[in-house]
Amino acid sequence: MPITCTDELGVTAVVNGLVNETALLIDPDTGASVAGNQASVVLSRASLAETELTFPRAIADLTTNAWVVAWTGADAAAKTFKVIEVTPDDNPAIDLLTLKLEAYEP
Amino acid sequence: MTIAALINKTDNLELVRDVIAAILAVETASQMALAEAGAKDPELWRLRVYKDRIEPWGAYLSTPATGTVDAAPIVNVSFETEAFIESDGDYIERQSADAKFNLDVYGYGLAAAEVTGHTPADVKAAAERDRATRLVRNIIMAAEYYELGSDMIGTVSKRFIQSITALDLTDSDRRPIQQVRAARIVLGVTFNELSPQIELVPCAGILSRVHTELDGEVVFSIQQWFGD
Repeated sequence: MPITCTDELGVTAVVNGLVNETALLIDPDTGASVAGNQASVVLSRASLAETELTFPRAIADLTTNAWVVAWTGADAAAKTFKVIEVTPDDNPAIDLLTLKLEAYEP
Repeated sequence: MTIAALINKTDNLELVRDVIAAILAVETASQMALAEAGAKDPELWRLRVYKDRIEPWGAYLSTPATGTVDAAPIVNVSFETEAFIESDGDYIERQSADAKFNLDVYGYGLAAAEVTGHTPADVKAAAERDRATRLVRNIIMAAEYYELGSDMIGTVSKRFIQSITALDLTDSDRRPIQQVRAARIVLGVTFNELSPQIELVPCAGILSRVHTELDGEVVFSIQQWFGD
């Protein structure tokens, strides 16, 4: 599905990818297991390289814009997320990037 | 011989936990009213109070927007330990106890774009956690609640915050959760626990007398009447 990516410089491009939003178990260090919610998107590194976008990364600096992805969900709702972790797959036959995400108020 | 009466009471451990939660609920509403009267944003004084929940922050999972009620800080009051003080009590009816209650404070924040840069979720969540923790500590340690309120005088003899510890939550992959940050306030409370007693029959009267028998013996006798 089309993913709208916006890097920290404000460059925007649409790249096809796979999105994932799942519930999971969390151990909050208190000995209790609780439910959580996690979103991620998988993009082709080659597709990203064809755009002007910077390489996706988690940005903690307050003075820099976040690396953001957005898409329209099956419920027609617009969803925007900030990248908080990038795990590249260096297998050249696959060459995918998995971006772990968190909710973001654009 | 079995216990004659049905044990149909609340232990003070449960009562104290409920009172702590009630104090926080009452005071957050009162503080919001005071803020409104002072032309301040009352939402900055809102706490959502739970007791004995494992996952009180379930509302955060739906990623509520900043400023909504669902995004307000959460406090969960739960019991941790109760240790009885043998030197302060008796083995018949009253046992003094030192109990620890965990007041877990959860702050929530969403990463958001700003005019220059952005605010990460963990920064906002930490600010919310700190604001809520400050509120809880000040409410519990306020002079009005030195024995957890006037209703608890005679039951509670002391309340004291023992520690405040930040808790950073992690997900199943041990990655830190950015949007929710927490702190645990450990509140120590000393109070009395009472146990069922044998129900005594009221003594209606006692008659005692000393008299001298015909043979010169001096005798003391006593009579008692029970019941109404």
